Amino acid sequence: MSQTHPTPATPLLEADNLTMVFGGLIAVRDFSFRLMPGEIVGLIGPNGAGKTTCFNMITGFCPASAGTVRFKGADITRRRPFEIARLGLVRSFQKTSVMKKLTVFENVRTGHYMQGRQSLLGTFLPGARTRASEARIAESTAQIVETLGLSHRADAPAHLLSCGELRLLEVAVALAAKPEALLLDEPAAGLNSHEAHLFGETLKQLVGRAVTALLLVEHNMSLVMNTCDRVVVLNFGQKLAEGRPEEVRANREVQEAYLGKAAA
Amino acid sequence: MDLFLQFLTNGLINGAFYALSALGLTLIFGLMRVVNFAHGEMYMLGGVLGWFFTTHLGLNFFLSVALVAAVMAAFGLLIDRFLIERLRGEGEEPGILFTIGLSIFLANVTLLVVGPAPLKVAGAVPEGALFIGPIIVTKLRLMAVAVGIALMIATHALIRHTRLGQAMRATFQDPMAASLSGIRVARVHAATFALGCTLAALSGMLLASIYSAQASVGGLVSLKSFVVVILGGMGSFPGAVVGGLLLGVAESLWGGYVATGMVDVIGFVLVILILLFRPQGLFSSSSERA
Amino acid sequence: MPSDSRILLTLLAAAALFPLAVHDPYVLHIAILVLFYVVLASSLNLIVGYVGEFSLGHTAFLGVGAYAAALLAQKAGWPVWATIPAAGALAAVAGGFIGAITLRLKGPYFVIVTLSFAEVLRLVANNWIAVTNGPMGLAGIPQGFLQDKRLFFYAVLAVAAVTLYLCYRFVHSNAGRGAVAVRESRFVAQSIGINPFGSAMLAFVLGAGLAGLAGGFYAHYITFVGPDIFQFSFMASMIIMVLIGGKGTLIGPIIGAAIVTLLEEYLRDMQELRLTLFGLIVMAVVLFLPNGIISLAPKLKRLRPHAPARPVSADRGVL
Repeated sequence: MSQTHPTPATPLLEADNLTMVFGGLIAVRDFSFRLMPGEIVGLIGPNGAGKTTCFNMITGFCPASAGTVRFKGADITRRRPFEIARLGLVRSFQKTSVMKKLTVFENVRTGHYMQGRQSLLGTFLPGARTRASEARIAESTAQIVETLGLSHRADAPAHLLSCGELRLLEVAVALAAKPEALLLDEPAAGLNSHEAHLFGETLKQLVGRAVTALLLVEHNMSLVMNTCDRVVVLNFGQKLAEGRPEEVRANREVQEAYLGKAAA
Repeated sequence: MDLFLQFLTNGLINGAFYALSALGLTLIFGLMRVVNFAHGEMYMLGGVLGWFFTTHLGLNFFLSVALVAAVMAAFGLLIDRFLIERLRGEGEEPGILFTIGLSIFLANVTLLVVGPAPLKVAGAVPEGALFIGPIIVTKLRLMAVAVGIALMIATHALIRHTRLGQAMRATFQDPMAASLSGIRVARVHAATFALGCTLAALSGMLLASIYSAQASVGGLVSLKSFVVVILGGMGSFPGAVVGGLLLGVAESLWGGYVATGMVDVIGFVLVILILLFRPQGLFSSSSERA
Repeated sequence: MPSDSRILLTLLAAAALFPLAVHDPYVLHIAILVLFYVVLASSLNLIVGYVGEFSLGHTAFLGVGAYAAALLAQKAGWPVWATIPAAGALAAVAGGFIGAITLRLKGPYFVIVTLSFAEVLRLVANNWIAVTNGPMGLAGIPQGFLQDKRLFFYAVLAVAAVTLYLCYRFVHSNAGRGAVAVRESRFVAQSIGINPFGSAMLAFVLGAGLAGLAGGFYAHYITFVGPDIFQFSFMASMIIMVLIGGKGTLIGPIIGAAIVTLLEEYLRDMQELRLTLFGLIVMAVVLFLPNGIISLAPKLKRLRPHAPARPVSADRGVL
């Protein structure tokens, strides 16, 4: 029943009827969606619509009150966050999610944690295997830093980076974990439109190479419209619409949700 | 049964002072998020100052209580404004380290000045016992407990019914909103720290009128106050009172029925158990906050 | 090779030559104390600097190690070369137990519960007279083949070398990077597959075991262990060493151990004055030098473990 290698027809990530209740208040109700291999999906909605809550439920940081999450066919609803990450589902956070005191290089190297794990013996009496693993990680780190265009900043501590560079570093750290599905929470926040455009191009490059599929929570509409294959709209904790970017943009309900009834 | 009542009474009396001291600590933590490891030294200073005013200078007990309160409030105010203020907003760790340093400093300066000998605070009433049914209580204890309870009620009134108390509660709930609505948060913090120090000091002075004050006692008092605060839940006023009484009674019963040698273990074992099974404290989720 | 390994090797080599040049037993004694505190401070640094939680109960492991070595030597007749490692192992087991409870807590709760454990152990040592001989303590612990100061020096140097090696390996390993990630941001750490509890546990148990080694050595060197070993003044010294030197660095605790041990020795007859000064130093460090002495040396900044092993530029050229 569980398929470890999904064919293009089977979803990589499936959420079914996810519901989150905070002290009697329903934050998200019956949210379902699929993420297929090769896709970039945008999750959008007005502030407070429940987007980040959905992320938290999917990645185990706030287990869902009801509903199920399946990743590569396996039920991960009640798994702990680090276990979910180890299965290949990696997320970023809305507020800058890097280690501020570490340099760019160190941040990305730390992101390789899962590939670098050693036995106790390997940690304290490193042999050829540990050394080879460390060398591979250093190489991969340099490559990821390069891919995201951060090579010139490799030795800069993260707290000295510009906003745009920080966003790229967040993606770099997440990529270092070699995810199959990557979930980015407002990765373009604080970028100007030119930077956001370049950022979107970078994301498109990743799918199919570094990651199998990408799910974005984003407020920057032009980024979402230009980058995503499919868009899911949340409003008041419920799915309002779903479809290709141009369909969603033309959807009357979506316009109302964003602009208010009168304006639509 | 009579013995039980006696143990219970002794426990409640000690517990009242644990409560008073813990009240100061829980206020400081609840409001300022500062874990004050120098709290026991404030308690100790209260006892030593009490000795200085009553026994050394021969002043009246109640006048001395007022003087100790004034001196320690000023001391707390200065420490907060000039030192702790600088650590605000840097998380808990610097506060913990700083107050550990402060506690080592205060304890040893006191040792240098007055030495390690126990110092007696002259009480307000003569020695002598009262018999209430089967229970024996000394007049000194009764007096001290009465003053202690009065202080708790006064503190509660201060928090509930004064402008300062209102500002404190507002700051506790949301420092940002409080400062936006014109409350001078820095002053509220300083006042809270001063209040916390004063409560600890008065608790120390009252207890020193029953037992004695000693420069080296601070560490244990800090620990016990923490025990009480954890029992009651950090930042909870009723929690501190109930936690204090609970610890007092538990210690008294253990000491009475089981073994005297390990009385101090009770608190630590309680804390370890509580944090294992109910990390928010016994009362925290439902209790009102300072 | 990252340069702090070079500094560590140089320091250890210099230390190994020290007894050849110095014969004065008093000076040797001070040198032994410095190395003893290097072990303690480095072990505490694993918890304070790498787990990022503030333990005030580290004396628990020092004490467990000291009592274990004393009892094994006295009652079971074990030789010194076996008691000291056994002391480390037992302290590590105690670390596993206490860590399993305390590492679920954070901030002030962690501080207080670790302190509580040390206090509980002190009270147990005081009251379990059948085993610990109560407040009288265990006296006349055999010293085995460690017959003079110079041999003791090499014994503690060996313990220090093992300690620094293990700390170095930990800090520069994947597990060490995981611990730093958890310290810097728990959320990020979990999102890249790090189990925060497991990661902290490794550092905690290692720190406990190393403190136990120090305790085992101490028991044989002083030939006496009493409940005082759990008391707060050891703890105060250790914290101050880690803070003054610079927490979260490998070299910092070594600098701190040397400075504080010498200062303690200089002020030995003035206990209160010494502690008064310590109190002032702690406050001053927190206010003015939060990253310790090591942060004063900008050139040394590269040595900070979380700034490190940069890839050789040739490597990057290939990619």
